[in-house]
Amino acid sequence: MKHFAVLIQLLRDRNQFLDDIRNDVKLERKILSLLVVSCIFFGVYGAIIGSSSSWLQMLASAVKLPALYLITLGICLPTLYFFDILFGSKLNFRQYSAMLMTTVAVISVLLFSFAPVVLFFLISIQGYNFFLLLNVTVMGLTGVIGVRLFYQGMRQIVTTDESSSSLRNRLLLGWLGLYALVGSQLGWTLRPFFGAPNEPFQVFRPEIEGNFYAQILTSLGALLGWY
Amino acid sequence: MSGVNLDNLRITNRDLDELTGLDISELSMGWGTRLAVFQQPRLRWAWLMNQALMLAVALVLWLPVCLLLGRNGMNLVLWLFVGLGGAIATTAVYSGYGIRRGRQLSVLSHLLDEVDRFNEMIKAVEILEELRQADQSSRHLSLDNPDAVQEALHLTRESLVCGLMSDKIMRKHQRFMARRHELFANIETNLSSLQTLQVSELAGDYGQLLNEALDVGTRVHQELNSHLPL
Repeated sequence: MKHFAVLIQLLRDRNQFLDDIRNDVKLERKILSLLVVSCIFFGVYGAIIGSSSSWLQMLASAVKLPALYLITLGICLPTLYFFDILFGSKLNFRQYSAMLMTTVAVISVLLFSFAPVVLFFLISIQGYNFFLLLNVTVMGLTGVIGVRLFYQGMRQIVTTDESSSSLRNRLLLGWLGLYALVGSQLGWTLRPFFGAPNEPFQVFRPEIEGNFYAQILTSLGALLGWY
Repeated sequence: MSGVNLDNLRITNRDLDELTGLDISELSMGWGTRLAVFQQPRLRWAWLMNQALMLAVALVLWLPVCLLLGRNGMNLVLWLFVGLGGAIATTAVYSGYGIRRGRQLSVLSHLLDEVDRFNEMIKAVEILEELRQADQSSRHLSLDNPDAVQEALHLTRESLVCGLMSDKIMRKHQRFMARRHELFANIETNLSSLQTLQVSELAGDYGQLLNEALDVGTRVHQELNSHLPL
């Protein structure tokens, strides 16, 4: 199968791709291909961020970063599907899966496009907190773009009457918040992705207390000299 | 054949998707694996590569989940093997299902191979035509009977399209076709019922005629009796 051809089709002619999703055209192939290419791109980016620590961390991050995005998708997909059909959507589960895979694939491509920049900073600057914040910014930016495209795409492919439309938009926005929460917490659970300096390699951190947002504030404080 | 566009004879991938109702590629037809994959080394490598990618995806999904499950216990290595085993089993099931489905669609697979050969033939004719145009003087590059070749290509195309459409119809009504023995039995029963009905109807007609004849006869007899002097 030509997995990358499906991705190029998505990037070049997004409207046609969304039309195909709306009309349920060849969705199995699209989902499978986007799954494969997303894994590859996330894997490459994960390997780059993991290589800041050790080669074992590089391997672990190459597996954990794709898992982070795909498992988050798997956790949140049923919520979106069942709530949406409850409020009048006519799309089927395959169409929702395709839409979400489209989002994840776009995020993976955007991350992959940032890979040379991140690699450059990895080689040129030796600062854990800076590298951490740089990557969080890149991931945040790509995530926001991907989610925005998903929101637009969903509004484009779902056709319902006016009364249920505003309700479903609010539902979609609520779901996006849930997606962000689940993603960040899963990221916290699956850490480390970077591997802290002067610490031995760990597949997962043993302590599961704290959360993603508190860590970002700590890193920002350390970078600005507050702590 | 100069100036003739053979492009409209070519059976494109889009045509194949519409004619078969499945997503057709070099390696697959819908979820099924094409049988040609196991006959041509190039396709075999592409298929193996595809399976390796599927294994990588399965590992990405299985390993972190299993390792997370085993993070607090002592059996991290056990969970690692569970993850590896799960990923391999998922890939094996996916591949096995593809091969099984491909075998079920063996007729379609052979038809698709023929379509590939047909498209290659068209390409060869086009190349020959380009060479002939580049070297007008060379007689051995031209086809002996270009119109006949075009006609043959046209007929072949029609046959292939007809075959693909027939296969699609057969697949669409597969369950119906699978019940053919039951159907024939039903038809036989229905025919017998019809024949019985016909016989009984005939018998009924005969009885009615007889009754009518008797009735007419009785009336005639009565009339004759009433008019004849006693």
